[in-house]
Amino acid sequence: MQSQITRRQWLSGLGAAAAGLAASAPTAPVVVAKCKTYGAELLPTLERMFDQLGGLGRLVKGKTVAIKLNLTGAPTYRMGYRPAELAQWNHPRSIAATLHLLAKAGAHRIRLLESPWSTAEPVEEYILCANWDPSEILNAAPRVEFENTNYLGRGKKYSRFAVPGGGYMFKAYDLNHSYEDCDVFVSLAKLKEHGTTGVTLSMKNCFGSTPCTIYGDGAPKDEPSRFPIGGRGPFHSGNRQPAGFTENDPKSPRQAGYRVPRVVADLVAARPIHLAIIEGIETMAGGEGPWIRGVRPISPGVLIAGANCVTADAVATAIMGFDPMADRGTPPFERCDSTLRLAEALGVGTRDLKRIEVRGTPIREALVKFRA
Amino acid sequence: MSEMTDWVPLRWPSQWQDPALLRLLEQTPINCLVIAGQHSNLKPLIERARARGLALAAPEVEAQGGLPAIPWTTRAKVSWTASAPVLAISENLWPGIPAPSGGGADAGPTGVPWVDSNGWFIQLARTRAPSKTFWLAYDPPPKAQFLRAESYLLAAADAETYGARWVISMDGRLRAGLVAKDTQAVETWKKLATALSFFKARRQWNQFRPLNVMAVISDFAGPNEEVSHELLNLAARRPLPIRILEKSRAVKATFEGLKAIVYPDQQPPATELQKKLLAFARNGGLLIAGPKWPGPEGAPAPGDAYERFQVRSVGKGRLATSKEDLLDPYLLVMDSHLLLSHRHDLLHFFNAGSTNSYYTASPDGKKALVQIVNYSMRPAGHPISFTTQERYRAARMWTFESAAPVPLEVQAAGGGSDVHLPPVGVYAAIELEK
Repeated sequence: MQSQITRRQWLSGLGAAAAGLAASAPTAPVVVAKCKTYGAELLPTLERMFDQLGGLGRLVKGKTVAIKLNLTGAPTYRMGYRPAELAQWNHPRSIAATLHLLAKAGAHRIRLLESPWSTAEPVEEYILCANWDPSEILNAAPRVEFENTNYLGRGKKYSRFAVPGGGYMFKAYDLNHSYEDCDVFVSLAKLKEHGTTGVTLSMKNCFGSTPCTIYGDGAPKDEPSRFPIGGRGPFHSGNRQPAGFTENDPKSPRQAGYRVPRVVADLVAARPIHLAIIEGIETMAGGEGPWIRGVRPISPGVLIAGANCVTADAVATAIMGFDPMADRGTPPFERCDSTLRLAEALGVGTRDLKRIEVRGTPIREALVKFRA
Repeated sequence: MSEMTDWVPLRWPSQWQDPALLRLLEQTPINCLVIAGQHSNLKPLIERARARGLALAAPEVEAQGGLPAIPWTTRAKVSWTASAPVLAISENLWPGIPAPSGGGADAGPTGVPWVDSNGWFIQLARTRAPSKTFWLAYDPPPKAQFLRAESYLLAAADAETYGARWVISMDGRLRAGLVAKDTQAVETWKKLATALSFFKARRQWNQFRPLNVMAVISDFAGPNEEVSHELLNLAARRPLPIRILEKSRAVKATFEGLKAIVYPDQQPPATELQKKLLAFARNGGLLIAGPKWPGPEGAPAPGDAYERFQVRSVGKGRLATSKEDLLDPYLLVMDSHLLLSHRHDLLHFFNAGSTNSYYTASPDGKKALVQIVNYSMRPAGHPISFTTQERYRAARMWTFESAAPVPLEVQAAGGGSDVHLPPVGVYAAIELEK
C-alpha cells in the first residue's frame, strides 16, 4: 500500500521540516479519571478533571462555546440492542454534565454542533429518533442551542478556515458559521477504534464538522448544495473533488487510509480545539459504529480531557492499549497513516507520552485493551 | 365451496394440463384456481378441480367458458364502487429491493435501501373500498435468474400483511421443478403453503385498526394522484404511518387520535371540509397544505424556521402552508414529518433499514400488532429492535418458521417499551399486550 505513495507525498507528510515541527510540537497536560457509570459520579468526576486542568473559568467565562458532538451514523443504528449512547454516540448525560459545568464556569452561550447523517433536519429531531429527549440537554444550562452543521444552517455563508502551512489535502476548508462564531471550541468525543483511521478520538471527531453540501457525495461540482446528501466520499475515496475545491495534489492516493487522516490533521490545525474531552465510560471496540463488522461492547469506565487535542488523543490511544507513536502497518493503524503523527508534524501537539504530563489516574491504571 | 372473500387464489399455469397436478394443492390453503385465457385444453383439469370443491375464476377481461369472472383491472382503472366482493388489481410491483444494473442496492432518497412494495397501495385500496377483498397480481420478474423460496414468501407477505391476497404466480423454474418433483422446488412450495396458512389462520388481524397520528386527505386521483400516491409510498419507508382519508368522505370522518393532517391536493377543499380542517388546527392539530390554501389565517408562528413552509398559529394549533406548489412528494413527506416532529413517532425502529412495518391495534384496544416485512429477505447484521411510545407489558413474535410464538424481551424505555427481536428473515409479527 505504501508503495503507491510518491516521494512528494511522503515528504508532504514526513518531510524534514515536518519532523522539526514534530520535535517542537507543543505539549499540554492531560487528565484521566475513572468513572464507571453515567450516574451520580459523572458530574463531580468531570468537575474535578476540569479543575485539574486549571479550571474552566479562565477558558470560557463570558465566552461563546461551541461543542462538536459525536453522533456518528444514522440514529437508527444499534450495536445489538444497545442504545447508541452506550456504543457509538456520546451519552446525553455526558453532554448535559459538560454543559452544566461550562455554564457554572461562566460560559455565556453554548452551541452543540453536529452534522447528522445526510440530513438538514435540526439536531433535536435527529436525536429524538434515538429516543433521546432534547430538552434534557437544552435545560442542562442556560442559552444552549443545537446547530446542524452539515449545511449552511442558520448562517448566511460558510466560514473559511485556512490550514497553516498549506495543508496536506486542501489549503482551506469551508465550515458552518458556528465553528467560527465561537470563542472556545470543544471536541466532545467518544473513545473508539475506527475502521478508516485506526482510532477516533477528539481529532477524528472533527471530521464530522465538514458539511456534506460541499464535501458530500451529492454536492454539485462548483458550489454547495442547499441540503446535504450522502456521506463524504470525496474525502474517503477521492472519487471527485468537493464543490468549489481542488485538493493540493489531485494525484494523491485514492485510499481512505491515506486521505482521511490528512483531512483530519488539516482540520484540527485550521480550526484549533481548545478543549478535548474523550468519553470512554461505555463504548464499543472494533470500530466506530455498528456498521463495522465484528464490533463489540466495552466498558473502559474512563474519561480523558486536555487542552491539546493531540496530547489528549495520544493518552487516550495509550489507554486503549495502543502505542501512540505507532504508524501505518502497526495497530491500530494497520491500513492507515496515523492522524496523531500527521497532526504532530503540523505542530498541533506532541504524541510522545514522554513529553505529556498525565494528571489524575495514571495510564496503566486506566488501561483497557481494545484488542485481546 | 368457501365464500369468495375467503379464496386463496393461484394463477394456474397454462402449461399444467394434467389433472394429477392438483395434488400440489393438498395441504395448502389454496382453494381457488385462476384460469386465464383459452382453457379448452384444461377441461379435464377443471372438472377434477370442481369435483374437489376448488373454486375457479377467470380475470373478467379474459373470462370464457362459464368460469366466474373477477373484476381485474390496472391500478388506474379500478372501479372502487363495483358490486363484486373481490377486486383484482394488476400492474403491481414484485416486492423486494431492486438491484440496479451496476449491482448492489439502490439508495433511495431516505438514505435507506429503496424497496418495491405494494403495501401503501393496499392500504389506499382498502380505504377507498373498505368492504372489498383485494387480490393483487404480480408475477416473478422475467429476468430473475433464480428465485429463492424467500422471494415467494415475501411476495405473499407484502400483500397479506396489509390485508390483501397475492394471486400466486410462479416462475418457469418453480413450475418445472414442481412437475418434476424437484426437492428444492417442493421445499419452496411447502414454505409458501406454510406462509399462506399462517396468514389464513390470522385473518382477524385484518380487522385491526392502523395506528397513526398523521392523516393524508386527498382524492388520490387525476392531477393529485402522482404526489398523493408517492407521498404514501415514501411515508411507509420513514416509517411514518399514515391514516388515509378520501376527500369525499373526510367531512364525516373522525380525526380522533390525529396530530397532523396533510392536504396535498392542488385545489383547495370545499368550504365544509376547509372549516373542519381549520377546526382541527384550532383545537391543537397541525394542518399542512399547499400554497393555494384560501386566505391563511393566524399570525406567523414563533420560531418559524421552516424553509419551504410558512407556519401560522391558529388557535391552539398550527397551519403550515407551503411557499411553492407541492410537487415533490419526497420533500413533502420529509417536511411533514419534521413539522410534526419525531416526538410524536409511535415507533422508532433500529437496524431495520430494509423493512417496512404495519402497526395496528385490536378492536378492543388491548393488543397491538407490529408486522415487519423484510425486503432483504435475510436477517440484518445487528438484530432489529423497536421502541414504542406506548407502554406494553409483554410481547411475542410469530414467524412462518415456528408454530409457536417466541416470547420477547420488553424493557421500559421512557414512557414506552423497548422490544428486542431475534433475527428476522422475511416476516415477523409481534403481538404486544398492555
